Amino acid sequence: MTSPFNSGPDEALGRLLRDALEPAHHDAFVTRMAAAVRAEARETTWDILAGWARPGIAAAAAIALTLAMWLAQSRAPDGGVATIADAVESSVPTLLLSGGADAGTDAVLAAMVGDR
Amino acid sequence: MRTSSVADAELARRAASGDGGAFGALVDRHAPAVRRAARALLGNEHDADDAAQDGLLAAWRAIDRYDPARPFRPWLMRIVLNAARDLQRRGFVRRSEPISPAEAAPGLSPERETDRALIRDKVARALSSLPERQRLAVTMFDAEGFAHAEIAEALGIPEGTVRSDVFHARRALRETLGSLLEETR
Repeated sequence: MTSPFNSGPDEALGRLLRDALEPAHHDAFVTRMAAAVRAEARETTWDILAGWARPGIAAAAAIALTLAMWLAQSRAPDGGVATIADAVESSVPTLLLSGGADAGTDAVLAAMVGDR
Repeated sequence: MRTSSVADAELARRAASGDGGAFGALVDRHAPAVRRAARALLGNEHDADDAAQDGLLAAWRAIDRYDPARPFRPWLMRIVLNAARDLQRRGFVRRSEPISPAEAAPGLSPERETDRALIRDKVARALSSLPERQRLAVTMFDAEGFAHAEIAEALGIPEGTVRSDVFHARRALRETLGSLLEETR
């Protein structure tokens, strides 16, 4: 004899239950769900972009800070050449062309002898 | 390829790789069952639909955690029922209302609509008089064709408890709906 705990589905009861619980407007529900999933997917994409943006901004800030520190440190303690502009301003051709007080043979000699 | 012939696990795999259409096919396939189960739990169609929508969205978010080696329906049902219980806990559940004739049987003659609405109402009341777990167990077993093991997985209870719940729920429903059931057989 089959145990009442092991019997199969009761078709008649199943039909009554399905009918009593039957949801209306299946197509409208599925359409609404599809729109909700699309909206969720869009939100997720923006979340991902936002996730990328935060480290990107942090990296750019770190690079800018490193560059600023490097520029500050490259300035010699005796007030020597620190930037490209400083180097250009104190070069021999510039001195010669500008006809400043130091221009002349001394400047040309100094450039030729260099560090020797 | 038509999605109606594609297995749940395959659709879930596609959905996990971002295919919203595959998830839509799963919703189309399983929405009636999860909406009915949510209604059996909450007793109100609007709440049941809110819960079903919340649950299905939660399933979409968690689809990459679904194990294709296991059946999909209990996994989905568990998520939807959790969403329904969450709604219940937050106190957003409306009082259950009798089913109107038009809602019960659109397109039928007024007399038949009324008859059908009365039957639906009687069945809904009989169901709502059962304890929650028995309501869900008998709905999933007899109305949706879940196996005992699948119901056990969806409800997070032992299989033996499911068998006992189905047995007691049926006995109570047969007592209340005796003549209706005989007419339906």
